[in-house]
Amino acid sequence: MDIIVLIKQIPDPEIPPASFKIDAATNKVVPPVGVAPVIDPYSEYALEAALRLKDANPGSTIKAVNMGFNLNKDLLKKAVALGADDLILIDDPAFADLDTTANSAILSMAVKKITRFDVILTGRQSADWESGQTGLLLGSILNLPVATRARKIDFSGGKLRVERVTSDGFEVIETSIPAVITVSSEIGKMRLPNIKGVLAAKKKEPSMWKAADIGAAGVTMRRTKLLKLYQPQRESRCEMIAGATPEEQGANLALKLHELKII
Amino acid sequence: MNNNKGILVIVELKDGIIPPIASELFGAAKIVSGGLPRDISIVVIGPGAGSIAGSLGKFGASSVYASDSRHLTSSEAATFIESAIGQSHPSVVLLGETDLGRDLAPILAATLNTAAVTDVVALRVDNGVLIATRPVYGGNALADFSIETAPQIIAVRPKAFVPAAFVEGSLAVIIALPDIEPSSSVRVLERVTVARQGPRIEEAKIVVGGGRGLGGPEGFIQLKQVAELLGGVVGASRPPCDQGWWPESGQIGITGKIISPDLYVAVGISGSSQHVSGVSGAKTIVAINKDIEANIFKVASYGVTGDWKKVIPAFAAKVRELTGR
Repeated sequence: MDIIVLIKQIPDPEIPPASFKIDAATNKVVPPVGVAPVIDPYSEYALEAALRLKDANPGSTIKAVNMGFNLNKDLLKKAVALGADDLILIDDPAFADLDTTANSAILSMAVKKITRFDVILTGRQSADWESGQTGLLLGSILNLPVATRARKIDFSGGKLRVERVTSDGFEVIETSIPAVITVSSEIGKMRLPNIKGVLAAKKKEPSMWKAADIGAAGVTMRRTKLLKLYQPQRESRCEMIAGATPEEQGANLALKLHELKII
Repeated sequence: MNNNKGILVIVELKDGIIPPIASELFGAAKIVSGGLPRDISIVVIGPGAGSIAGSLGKFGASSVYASDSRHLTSSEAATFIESAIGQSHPSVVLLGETDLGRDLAPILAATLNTAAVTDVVALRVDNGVLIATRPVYGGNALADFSIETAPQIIAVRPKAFVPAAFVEGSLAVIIALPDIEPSSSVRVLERVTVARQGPRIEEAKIVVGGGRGLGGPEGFIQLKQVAELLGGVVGASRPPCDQGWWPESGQIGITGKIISPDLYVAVGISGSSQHVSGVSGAKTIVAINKDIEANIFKVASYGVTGDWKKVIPAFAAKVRELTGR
């Protein structure tokens, strides 16, 4: 089967919170100096799902698609090292400041240009804006069925069978192809590349597309306005529990919480 | 923007009963009204909707659209709601950030040519503009959004809004939604509930979380005893789940569960931004960590700097003494 996996680059979410800064004038996150962007952890789960589908269905192809502005070309080579066949980077200044609606609309244009695919995989959300809408919006725009929060995907008899994570268990969803599937962390961690893959990835050059190549030049479709991006005021006054020994502190903690009627 | 237009609240029945998120949605609706009388309609979906619809008038709704359909896919549920929206023309649609709600918000946004803001934790009306706040970047930041198209679709995070009080003696008109053609492309084959011991971590009033500092799976046995003593459940930050010390399903943080208990006790957890974002809804956070510099103390209300192996047994002994458990 022909698989498209949507990859996003984001600022490294594992940085200590103290290095997280926002430029209030532009409502943008200031990337910490010397910290490279990473593949979004949810995109990694989507990529792992794509690789598993390819493993289970020999002859499958994977196209990894990354859209944005000022993208790191080498980051995406990891996808090839793991088994993706093609990389498409859609990089344009016009894509620097998109909302969820615009983002999905532009991705749908890219998918239309790719033409041939059986399934589009994406993370259930991204770890930066976390809106969790892209896969569903994409499905609606392209008029494709969508299954969200997949923890397992099987392809047989021309249909996809998806186990969807729910708050108290899971659902089994069957969908025709082509379809959009958003992948949850429960699918399992992304595999590690082998040497052969890394060497192959070095030689692989991504296809570079601009907004005009997918018919997205001059298209504005924001529907939400980001009024303000700011850091939450946290009560940083942590009361340290007194005590001469850790045991005494432990007992005093119990007393304190009991006094506050929390326990 | 016309503030006199109505609000549509989507209520999804859980096992035939009205879930707690419903009254929180009406609490949110009150904020959206901004003190002005606004017409509230309800869509209630799920088995039993028809018989429960009348009782929803107590939330101050004028009309209740009901569908008893079961085993709906998200897009089928959206079709019902679209038909109610077509009849009531709301300017704001409120729904819960639930299994179904988080699918519905973008589906409705796309079909109605509008936009949704998901996982909303606060709402306010400023000069007639509805502003929705949501955590982003793993809880490191908050973002205030307005939606420039109508209806504005808002999915609210459970436990983020004060539940609304009932309006006694209110009557609502009940409108049954017509059946829809089932989708030919997608269907739900089965729904499986995985039995678990104790309350779900997202609903637990007390959660004890363990981190890398526990040093191994054995530490979690102790945490489990303490959690049981407190009537709570155990969770973990990412490293113990990666190491297999604790199941993935109990991972707290942005790639795991978002919790908002009354008490969260973080044991041996340094407090990475992705973990902290998962507990920012906790009323009281207690941190037990050897490292006074640990980030978790920045978000905790009470802290103990010491070896958890010594702190925890003494804490548990005192709890037993105080509570007689």
